[in-house]
Amino acid sequence: MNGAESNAALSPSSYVPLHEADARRELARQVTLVELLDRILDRGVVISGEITLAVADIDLVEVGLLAVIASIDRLATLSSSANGNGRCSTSTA
Amino acid sequence: MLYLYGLIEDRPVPMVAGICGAPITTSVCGDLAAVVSEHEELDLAPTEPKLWEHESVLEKLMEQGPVLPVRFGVTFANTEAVRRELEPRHEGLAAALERVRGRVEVSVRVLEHSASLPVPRRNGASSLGPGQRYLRARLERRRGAIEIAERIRQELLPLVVEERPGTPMAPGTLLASSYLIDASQLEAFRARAEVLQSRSGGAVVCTGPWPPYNFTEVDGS
Repeated sequence: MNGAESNAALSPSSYVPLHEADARRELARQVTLVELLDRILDRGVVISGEITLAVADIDLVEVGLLAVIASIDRLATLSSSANGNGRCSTSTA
Repeated sequence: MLYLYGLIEDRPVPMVAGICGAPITTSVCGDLAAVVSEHEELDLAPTEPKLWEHESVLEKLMEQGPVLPVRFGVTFANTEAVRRELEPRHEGLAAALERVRGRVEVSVRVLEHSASLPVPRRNGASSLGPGQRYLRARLERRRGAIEIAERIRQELLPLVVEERPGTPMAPGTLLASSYLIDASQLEAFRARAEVLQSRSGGAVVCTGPWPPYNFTEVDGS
């Protein structure tokens, strides 16, 4: 569940076209982000302090969420065409 | 102002940086404690790094005992305001903490396109035109995929304490459920998700352990 690891970019010398491992890693990262957004903005114990997240902010985040979900599907397709059996990684903490 | 992360039993908290690097501390109410950080001012636009800062505090707390996560962006003016919120609900909150003790939340998402079975052949299909054949094949693939998602769900349920079905938001998502499981079952759950994934040829993505965001209802609230 660490957001940092996922940002590891390939250095130019090691760059290879997106293939199975990259697609899988990226898929797991994207799904993890969707799961985080889904929980952190909308779930949890109901505590009525001052809630500073404006409705407009949530709308914006939801637009982003849908974009992410759309790209998951594309990535999963890449992943499955890369290795022929559609496996993608099980993300771990 | 105090920024709130979650609720725990009153215990020392680890040295962890919260939102914007501020150290976390507790605001105690009986045997419960609100985990907070103090800020002069705070910009709470929900950026990805800020969301992860909130999340990582909860994950650290979760390693040491039960925690009730609070959603992003909740603040209080001061300790007194926190206490006013917690005191009348003390009993329910304590019970909610008990419910998640020793347990974690995991999420399972099944994506459609690659979760589909070979399309069953039907007699008489040859009498259909190409357009009808295409649509029928698509429908059958969709049905097959939904069946697979349900089978995956059934195989996971024996390892689960509680289930919270999510609403699949995107057209390609067949299942997006959250499960409360005993922490001791985490490895077994992951292993089974791996097996299901390779067996179905599908995209089964299991994430977690998460703080139990989906299992925090307080009775009577």
